[in-house]
Parts: sequence; C-alpha cells; structure tokens
Amino acid sequence: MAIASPSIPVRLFRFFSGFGLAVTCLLLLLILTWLSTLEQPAKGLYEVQKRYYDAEAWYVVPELNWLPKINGKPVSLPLPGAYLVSAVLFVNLFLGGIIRIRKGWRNIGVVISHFSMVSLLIAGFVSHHYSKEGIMAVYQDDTSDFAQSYTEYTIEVAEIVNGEKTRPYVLPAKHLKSLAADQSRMFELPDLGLELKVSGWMRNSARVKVDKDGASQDVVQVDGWALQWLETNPTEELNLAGCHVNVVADNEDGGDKLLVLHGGDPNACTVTMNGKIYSLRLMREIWPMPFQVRLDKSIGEYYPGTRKPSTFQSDITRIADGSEQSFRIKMNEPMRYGGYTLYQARWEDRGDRPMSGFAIVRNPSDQWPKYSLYISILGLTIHFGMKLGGFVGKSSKSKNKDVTPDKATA
Amino acid sequence: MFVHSFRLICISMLAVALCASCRKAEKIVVNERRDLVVADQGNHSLLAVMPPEWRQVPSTEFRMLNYRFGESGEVFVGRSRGGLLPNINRWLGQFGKPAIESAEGLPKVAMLGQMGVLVSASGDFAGGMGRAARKDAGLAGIIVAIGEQLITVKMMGSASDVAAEQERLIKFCEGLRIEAGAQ
Repeated sequence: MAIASPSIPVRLFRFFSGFGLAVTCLLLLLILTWLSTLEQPAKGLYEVQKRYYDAEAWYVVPELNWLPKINGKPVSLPLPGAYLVSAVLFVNLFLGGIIRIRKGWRNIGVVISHFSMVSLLIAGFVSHHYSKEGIMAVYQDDTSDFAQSYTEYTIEVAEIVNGEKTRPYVLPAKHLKSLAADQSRMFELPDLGLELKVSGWMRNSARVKVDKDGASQDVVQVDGWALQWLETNPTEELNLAGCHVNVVADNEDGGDKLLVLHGGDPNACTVTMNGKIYSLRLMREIWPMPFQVRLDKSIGEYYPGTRKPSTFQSDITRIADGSEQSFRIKMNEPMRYGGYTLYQARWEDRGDRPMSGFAIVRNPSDQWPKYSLYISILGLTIHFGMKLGGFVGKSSKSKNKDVTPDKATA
Repeated sequence: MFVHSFRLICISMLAVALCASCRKAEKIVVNERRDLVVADQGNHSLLAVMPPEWRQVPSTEFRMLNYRFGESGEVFVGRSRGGLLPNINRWLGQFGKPAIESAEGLPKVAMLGQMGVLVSASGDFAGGMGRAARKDAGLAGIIVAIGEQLITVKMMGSASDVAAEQERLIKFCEGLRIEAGAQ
C-alpha cells in the first residue's frame, strides 16, 4: 500500500518547525552580527543598526572593502535582514520547540528552554518597537525636566502669545527622516489652521550666509541664509539636519511663507499668519519627563591628557509629585523610577560648571531578558539534571550487574 | 489547488503594487502636542513681545534676539561693554557722524526698568561687524546700562524703513522684560 504524500499545510508546518530552519536562522544571525560589527567603524552605529536590524530592512547588502571584486565592483551578496530572520526564528521556535516537540516529563526542560528563547525574541520585539531613549544634560545646580533624542529630528510649531511659547505641535520624526532631498511632504495642523510643505531634507547640513543678490537661483535662501549639504557623519549624533518649509495658512491672502530651518539653530524662526505669530524650529525630539532632576553635585575625572572621562558620578534630587528624594547615580548604578531608567552616560567639565548627561530609557521589556535567562537556566538545569540522574542511575545499575556474578562466584 | 493559491497570491501582490503606485501624496495630520519644558524658556533671560510685522530668525553669538522686517531690515538685541558714550559714538561713527560728548540731549526710552537712550542716524553706512557698506541706510538703537553691562537694541535698514518702524521699536523695547528668577 502506497503512503500518501503529506498535504501542503503539513509540509509548510514541517518546514517552519524544522531543525534545519532553526540552524539556518541562527547561522544567519551569527553572520549578520559579524558583518555589521565589521561595518560599524566605517559606517557608524546608527547607520549599521538601520541597515541590518530595522524592521524595514528586509534585506541587507554588506558593504565591506575586503569582499571579492568582479570587474572592479565588490560582490553584491544580499542577506535577509536581522529582523526578518528573528521573526522566522520566533515562528520556528514556537512551532518546533513548543507545539511540535514531543510532550512529556522527559522533555519538560527542553520545552522550558525553548520558551525562554521565544520570550527573549518577544522582549527584543517589544524593545525595538516600544522603547524610547534620550539624553538629559544638566549642569550642576540646574534642574531639568526633559530628555532629548540623540538622533531623531522633528519640527515643532507653536503659537506665540504675548511673547510666550504655547505648547508646541510636533511633526513626527519618522515622516521627516524618510524624506529624500528631492522629495517633499505635506503636514496639516488643523488646530492652528496651517499647512507645512517640508522639502530639501538634508541629513547633515550647515547654515551658510549667501549674498542675497548674487546667489544663484537654484540656491534656496531666506534673509540671506541658505543650507549647504554636508557628507553624513558616521556618528549620527553629530549630524545637523536641515530643510526648507513653506507655511500656508487658511484664509491667508499673502500666499505661503518660506523658511530655512537648521538643526543647529539655537532658537526658532517665526512667521506671522492671519495676525498670529507662529514659531517653527527643527530640533532633536524633546521628551518631557514626569519628574524633575536637580543636579546637586557632579564629580568626574578624565583619562590623563584626554577629554574622555575615566570615572563619574552624580548626586541628584528627584522631584516628583511634590516630594524630593536624593540619589547617587554612578557607573552601572542607575536610578529607576516610574518605568524610566536613568543612568549616567556623559560627563564634562569645561571650567565653569560640570555637566552630567543622563541617558533615560523607557523600555517596557527592560527586565524581560533577565527573566528569560532565569527561565532558560531553569529549563537547562531540569534537562541536564534529568540526564545526569538517568546517567548515574544507569551507571549504578550496570555496576550492580557487573558485581553480582563476581559475588556469586565468591 | 496549489496552482490556484499561487495565482491568487500573484494577483493580490499585483493589485497592492498598483494601488501603491497610484496613491496620491499623503498629507500627514499633526495633532500631537507636547508639554512645555525648561528648554522652552530659551537660552537667555530676556522675554520679548515682538510685533507681528517682524520675523524672528536664529540668534547668533552676539545677538541674543534676532529679527528681520520688510525686505532687508533687521533688529537685534545684544550685550555690550565699554560704556554708554563710546558705544553711542561707535554707532554714529558707522554713519560718518561726529562723536557727541554727552548723552544728555538724546531722547530717552524706558527699557528693562531703566531709562535708555535712543540713538538715530541715517546716511551712508560704512559697514562693519560683518555687514556690507550701504547707501541711504538708517539706524535706530536703544542702549541701556544694567549694572556693569549694556543691553543694546539696534535697528538697521534703509532710512525709510527704519523711520517707519521706529515706533514699533520703541514699543518693543518698552515691552522687554527679564524673566522672573533670572539674574
């Protein structure tokens, strides 16, 4: 009797839960980690993370000088992105290590270990999509209540009333950074009755003075200022974005108003529309904190002859809900509060007052990798414990077998 | 069965690709606001109410507040040292005007709780501080002494533009204030 070949869903299930796919995924992750590490010194951490590990990075073509060349061009070797490989590995571990695996007390340790790996991948997913990170720079004796993104630029639009800024509207950073230099994007601010057309996006730029009359027609200039495109710096934090913004207001007869915005500007530019003053500023995204930090004392030391700090610590007062509490933040000793983790990442002393830079992270899955590790330890301990127990049991049995005939002969 | 599913997938992908290519440029609606933080107070202690006819531009090392008006008019607020009279005479000198020996006869404007002096000049601007020489230019500026330092508000532009904006300049100076708690 001929055996019927398995149906397509069964074949798919077997493929996605198979051991071969697990090994392929793990090997790919190993290769991607290795290649991205090699690329990092030249391309920078931000760029490499974006190209290799972003959710949008379906595939990556490594750009390494030592790759073999054909006709003078390096070999193009597309590899799947790490996010995609991790997603496939998640499906594989879930189907193979939890659903398909033979259940029973003998395998309980292995199932637990697989579960820990699945939870580790979930932690990575949550962290990738829902964590937020910024830097709070505070000078000694100053108080701060916000963190600022290292890399993400946004445009803030606020109405100015009696010389004072009102709560600003924030253009989402993801819609700005995805703009190419020759693209434009429209943003509508219905509450203010404004529309903004953002164009000429530059990831790194300089604000330069131009001769109003002598400038070429191709140069977009406002009040004698224009933007100059600069090569992207591998250290993303050092890039200063720039763009042009056309502001249009409802019922405004004067047409649109053009602004040149630059990420290095210390304050906003304004336009007046329908008699109201609006400020616009291109800046790294501001992240208000639900607490204030007063820097009472900032202590640190540089490595001799350098501006690289060898050690630092800060005495701070956390002000929240009307109460004050003192803390000491040191290397590897962060402060945790309300889902935020605050650890010192920078220190500077330029003679006037020392400055502490606190990296602030809010990551819902902050502690999940630790718990995954504990689960993994538990699973592997059970599994290897049972194996050891079985081995010891078998050994003692075979010893007894070997001993019995001797005793009999004796 | 397999061929049918494969055909269905191909048609769906083609439809998605066509829809994506035909999609009109999207307009992003922005409703997200953030709370004000200490950084919104600015990097200096001066609070100013600018007239809607002016536009603020980024400040520079020597210009705490920097504005433009009309085609080429500019107003900027800065700090200075070196005494009231030398600064007045430096400004007048930029227009080839003779130095004065006393600021007593100059008009006064209330600014930052003190009485400042209003300096006006017009004619050919000789250039300086990065600005090109200019014919038929105008100057209106107010200098006030706050402790050991001087706060200056200087308006430059064509003579006619400066004359037309002088009233707004005086109102602007009268409205300048130092933020509470700042030194």
